[in-house]
Amino acid sequence: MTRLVGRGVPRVDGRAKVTGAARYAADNEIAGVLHGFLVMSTIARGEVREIDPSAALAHPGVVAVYTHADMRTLTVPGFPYNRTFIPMQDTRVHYSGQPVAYVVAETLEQAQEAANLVRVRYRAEPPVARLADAPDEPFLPEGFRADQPTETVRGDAATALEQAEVRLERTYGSPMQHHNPIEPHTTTAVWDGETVTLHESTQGVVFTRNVVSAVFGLPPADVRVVSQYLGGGFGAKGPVYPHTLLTVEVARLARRPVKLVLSRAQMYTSNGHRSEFRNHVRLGATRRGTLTAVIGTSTAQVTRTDERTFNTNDSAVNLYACPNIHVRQLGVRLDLPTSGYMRSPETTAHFGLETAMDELSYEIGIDPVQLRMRNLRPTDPQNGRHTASRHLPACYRMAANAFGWKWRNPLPGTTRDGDEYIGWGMATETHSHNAIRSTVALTIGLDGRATLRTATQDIGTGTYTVLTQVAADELGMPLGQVTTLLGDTAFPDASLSAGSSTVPSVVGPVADAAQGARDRVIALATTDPRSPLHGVPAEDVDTEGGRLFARGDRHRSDSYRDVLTRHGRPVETRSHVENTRGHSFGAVFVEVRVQPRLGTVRVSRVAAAYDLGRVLNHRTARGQVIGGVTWGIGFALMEHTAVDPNTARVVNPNLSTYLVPVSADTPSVDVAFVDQPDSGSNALGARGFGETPGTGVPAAIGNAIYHATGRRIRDVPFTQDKLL
Amino acid sequence: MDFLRPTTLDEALAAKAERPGAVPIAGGTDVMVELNFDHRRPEALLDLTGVGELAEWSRSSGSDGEIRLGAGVPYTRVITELGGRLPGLAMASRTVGSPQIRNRGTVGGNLGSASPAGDTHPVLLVTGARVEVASVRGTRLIPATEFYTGVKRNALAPDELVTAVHLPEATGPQQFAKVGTRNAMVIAVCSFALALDPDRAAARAAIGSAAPTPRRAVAAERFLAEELPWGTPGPLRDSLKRRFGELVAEATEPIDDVRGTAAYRRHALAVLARRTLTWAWNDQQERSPSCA
Ligand SMILES: Cc1cc2nc3c(=O)[nH]c(=O)nc-3n(C[C@H](O)[C@H](O)[C@H](O)COP(=O)(O)OP(=O)(O)OC[C@H]3O[C@@H](n4cnc5c(N)ncnc54)[C@H](O)[C@@H]3O)c2cc1C
Repeated sequence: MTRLVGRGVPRVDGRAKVTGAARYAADNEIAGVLHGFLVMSTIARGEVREIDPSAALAHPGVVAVYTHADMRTLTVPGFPYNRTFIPMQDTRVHYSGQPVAYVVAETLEQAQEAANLVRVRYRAEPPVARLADAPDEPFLPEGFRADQPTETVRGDAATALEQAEVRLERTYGSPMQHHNPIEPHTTTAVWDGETVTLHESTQGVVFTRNVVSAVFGLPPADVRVVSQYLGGGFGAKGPVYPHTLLTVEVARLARRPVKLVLSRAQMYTSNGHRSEFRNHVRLGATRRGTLTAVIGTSTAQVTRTDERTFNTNDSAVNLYACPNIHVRQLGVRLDLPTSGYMRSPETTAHFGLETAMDELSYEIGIDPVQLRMRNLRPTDPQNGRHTASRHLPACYRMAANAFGWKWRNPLPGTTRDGDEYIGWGMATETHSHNAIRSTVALTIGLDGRATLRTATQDIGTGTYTVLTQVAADELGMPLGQVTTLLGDTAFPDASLSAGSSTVPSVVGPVADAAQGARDRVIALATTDPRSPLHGVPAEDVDTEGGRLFARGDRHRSDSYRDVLTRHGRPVETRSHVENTRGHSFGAVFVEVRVQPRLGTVRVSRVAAAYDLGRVLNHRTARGQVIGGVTWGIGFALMEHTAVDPNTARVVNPNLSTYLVPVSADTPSVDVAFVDQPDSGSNALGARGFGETPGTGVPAAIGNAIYHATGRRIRDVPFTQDKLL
Repeated sequence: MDFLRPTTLDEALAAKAERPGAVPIAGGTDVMVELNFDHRRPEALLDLTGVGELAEWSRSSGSDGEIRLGAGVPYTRVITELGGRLPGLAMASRTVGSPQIRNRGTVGGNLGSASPAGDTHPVLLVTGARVEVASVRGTRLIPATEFYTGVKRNALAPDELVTAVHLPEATGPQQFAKVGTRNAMVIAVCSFALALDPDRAAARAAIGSAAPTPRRAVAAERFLAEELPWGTPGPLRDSLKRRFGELVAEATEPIDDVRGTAAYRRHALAVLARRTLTWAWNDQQERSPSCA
């Protein structure tokens, strides 16, 4: 019966995107809108003493300059609001780049210029900006999510490590990084009496609605959030951030709609980041390479106002079979903005584990793939599912074959091509995925066309396409007969587009709603004397190409359109089916070419294979791999938010100095999928996948650099000066 | 902000004389970045893209040909039209930005910005280029060696425009090499150009992004002039290449910044110097009849 699911169907929204017809959040022309611009603190710690808006107010077009003195007391909501305070509620400054005033003017340029003219005087205290500057202060924060504890103990890791035949102890590090979606954050708040509509660039319209309703004490039904398309989110638009709340309040104060678009520079302090991270890893193993102890102690930047850490050490706990595990995730309070989730947050700690595994393989003298195969987990002790992959061995095999791993020269530093040293490295790829209760509504109109409505969103990953494929298949309609509408809280509540949760959360309800609608239409036909299918048992009716057929007698047929027209009313169904959390897996193999005298590294080949359950769309899944591998290359070789240690300011808040990979840095990726349905997932056997590819890439690149040069670098990015 | 659109060079020069504060804009790949970052707010922009004379190149008729490259010729055309005659400049042009930037960006703009990291500067220094500048007062030719006066400062008077660059056609091997923090769309961490002049048994070497201005490595050049075994076929001695690298590194005056450390720049320039010398010398060996 499957015709579309599984195929690499092109994007249903592709044309709208390339022609500019797709409406992004800031693409609105609302009558009477005011443009907002934030004035950000220039100190990282201290107090606002005085704000003088007079020059700004005198600037043409400026309508108002709001400060903490103008704001109502707002309720600080819980997760997914990631901070324990809302800026502009008092005079305290917690980080450089914190909003201290909000200018509204008739044009964006006027607002921006006036923001420059607002004079703010501070009482400044010296900030601390780097983990290295607060060496004595790590503490074990309380986990803020029950499913992400900050400490995990299994067995007796300390004793096991002491008794281990082989011991390895290393520290790995990564700097602060920023998401940099190309579309900046934007909010347009439009009040109508006591209800408010937000045109928002968000990975979760429902989350945003819930937070706004909590902060402003509004019933959820009085808050509407619309976010039809996103130009990327990567976690930067998952939680709700202060600029959104301030815009809602300012629009209320101004009694006019207000549109805010963050500048690129402001995006380096407004919406979280991957925090600076150190990971102290100790492994114990037998001479044959069986892990007997895994001890991981990570330290991440937190702030003085809250202690949330976002980069869980998931793979140390869940990936390999090891009876003795002790994982702790410490925090150090610094005068920086609160961090947050950034695409594949588990990469941060996984980089340490997968590098340590590589180091162990050389220490013991076995192939790095063999070492991993020796430590595969049979089943998961907690839920018996997802965390263990029956197909991980197939991933290693498929990717290794595609790469040519069997030709590997095991001796590091001995393969050359002219001036260049060539190295091969590999790592396991894995990430958890979430599953969030989701409801969808499906309507088949009198014209026989189906419309799917659900308040999840497409952040660029292909959600419109995949959901349309699923609904069309279940209904037996061509792709073009189904329209999917997303990103609007006017639709039934559905999953956040984060934590790789969209497919596992929403596909089940879509399939179920479509099956329900199809069954209703079949029942209408078979009970209607005017239908050629009248009297055919419902279970003997097939649907295909928008038509209904009697099985075995294809001349007896009807169409959705005709059935609905005769019925005279649309058919509507609604469904929610809850899925469970899980993990997806893969293996990635990388070749690098190193110029040892210049320290330059080029990734020349990548082969990867994945088990994500059933692959619903090979093209969009492959897109996630290309994106993930590219992120991995950036993580490994260049991404780095530089913070000035004296002022705690970000010194490279733009894309000309915060480098991300360009085409010339990214080879084409050889991608394979196991493509076996996971019987435990009710999303047609598919699991969440978006964040799995790339998780192993930083380690694989570092491992390949070691293989090329014999030099082990344990701090990303692997820049040229480190490699000399 | 006014936007001035002259259509002839005379109009452009008149406008610049009348409003010295007007900022010329050619490809705009530096100017627009500065405006977007609010690094400057000029009273007027003087758009040079309508001035046809600036977008042409020509070859003088003499036997040792000289190319007069209009200030407004974009890098893409330098690469496709002048790759054979000006190999060093074409090599540098290929490393600039991305295809979009190379379609817009110009050598005149590179000179106008005079960034120590500008990619064409080391090549202009080693090829003996002269910068043609004009004003209502007249035209003068400034040797590239005298053009760069400080960090992002050049020898232009407030009423002058760059009209062209005069470059001798290559008579020997030319090389350009650049280290960046990624493989494209990147400002040089450091760059290096080398030109051999077998007819005069001389060589020129210049560094970029490793001193307040692009500059020649004069001691290294003198060393090559004395030591290069012009008449002798075969590869160069390692000791010669190493010493050349050291002398190039000594000519630098680098700083630490987000792109790289001073120590890295010094080290990498020595490596680039040795490599480009090896390539250029091999090239020379293939060209010279004594090798046959
Ligand atoms: C993404 C990106 C990547 C880049 N990569 C590189 C790179 O790899 N290497 C590199 O060297 N540069 C690079 N640049 C910088 C820039 O592209 C070059 O400096 C280019 O040569 C500028 O030329 P333009 O015609 O665009 O100059 P414009 O931006 O138009 O002008 C630059 C300056 O020169 C002045 N000017 C222009 N024409 C004249 C004239 N005829 N007379 C007097 N003054 C004049 C302008 O007033 C201005 O001060 C990059 C820029 C960007 C945005």
